[in-house]
Amino acid sequence: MKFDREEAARFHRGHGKPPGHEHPEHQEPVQEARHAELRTTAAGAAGATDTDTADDAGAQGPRKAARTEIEVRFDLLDENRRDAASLRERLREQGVFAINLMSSPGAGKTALLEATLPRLGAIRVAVLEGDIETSADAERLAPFGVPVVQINTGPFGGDCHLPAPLVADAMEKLPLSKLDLVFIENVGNLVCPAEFDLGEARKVVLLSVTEGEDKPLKYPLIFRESSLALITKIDLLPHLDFDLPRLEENLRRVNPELRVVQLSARSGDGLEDWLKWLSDELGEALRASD
Amino acid sequence: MHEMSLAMGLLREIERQLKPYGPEARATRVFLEVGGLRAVFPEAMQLCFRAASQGTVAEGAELVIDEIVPRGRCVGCGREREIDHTYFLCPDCDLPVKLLAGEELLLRSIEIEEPDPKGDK
Repeated sequence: MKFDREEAARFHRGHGKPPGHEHPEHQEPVQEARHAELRTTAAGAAGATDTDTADDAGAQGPRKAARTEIEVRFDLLDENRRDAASLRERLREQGVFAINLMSSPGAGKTALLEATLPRLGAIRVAVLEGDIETSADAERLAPFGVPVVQINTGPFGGDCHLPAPLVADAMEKLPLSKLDLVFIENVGNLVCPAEFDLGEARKVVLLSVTEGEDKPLKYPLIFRESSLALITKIDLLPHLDFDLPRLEENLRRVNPELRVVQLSARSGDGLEDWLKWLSDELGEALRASD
Repeated sequence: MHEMSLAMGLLREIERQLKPYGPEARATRVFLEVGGLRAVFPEAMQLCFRAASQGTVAEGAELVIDEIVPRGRCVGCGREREIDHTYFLCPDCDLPVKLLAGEELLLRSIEIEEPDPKGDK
């Protein structure tokens, strides 16, 4: 782009080739010098705050330029939000309830699914597994005989979160008309996934007791966006100096409406509370769509 | 670092906005509003913008980030105040605070430089 602009500037000064000329190595040395001067002027103008600078630069340089400011008011999250809204509508039509599971890496999202899938009874479920690389988590869930689609963000620049279009594509690989529930296991990260709506019905955040009770204050957005927080690995509490009441107070501070359930996927403690939340939410969604 | 995906979306919009101004128009300044409640770090955004703008109409443009202070109103007493991003309870009533500002992520305006027709032709 810059190349075109400089070519154009030379052309207007009458120094030779028209814009788009493709052999800059044939330029004379004097042109190279002006080339450098133009670059400096442009950089100086871009860093300045005075809008008249453009005209000053034009006076020294070969061309005059006018600067105008245009109002745009474009929300950076709108693009993803639109994709998420159309996916949400599609899931609603199909009667599919989607849950976006978010947490830092290793908080127990896959372990929660391993404990949950065998206990769902007649609920028809599928899983979307988001990871930067590998299909290790999808393989862990293979024995449960439910449809699992692995989404790797590696080919898309190693994104630290799932964006709505990738989730929408992955949903198309599932037999949606034959499903009630889809778990979307997001990429392990407490920051980025919070910013991206995936068309889910509910967001659930997991926080393991080994991560510390200050996390809701350090990463408030993900706790604000979620309907439910699962405090995981509570079987480890006897070995830790973890202040559970302080965590609950911190959660209430950042999101007074957040529901909280404590559980251990390993010991099974608290799983009933999580399953009850799940069936209540699912039942409510089913009644609403009737 | 999701700032990269955001910066790429920002650049797509800048290119779209500049199209009607012709091939020589350039973005010289880009004004962004970022609410204090967003998980978007201005330094990371600057870095990603510089990287993503290479070879685009906004290469070399200055990214001006206006950080918006979060504000909210208590659902109980109705008092409006600035809020600490980790505290969404009214200090007086201990009731939830309804957000009024702080969640922005907005490309507000673009300063465009275009060749002056009089000086150019």
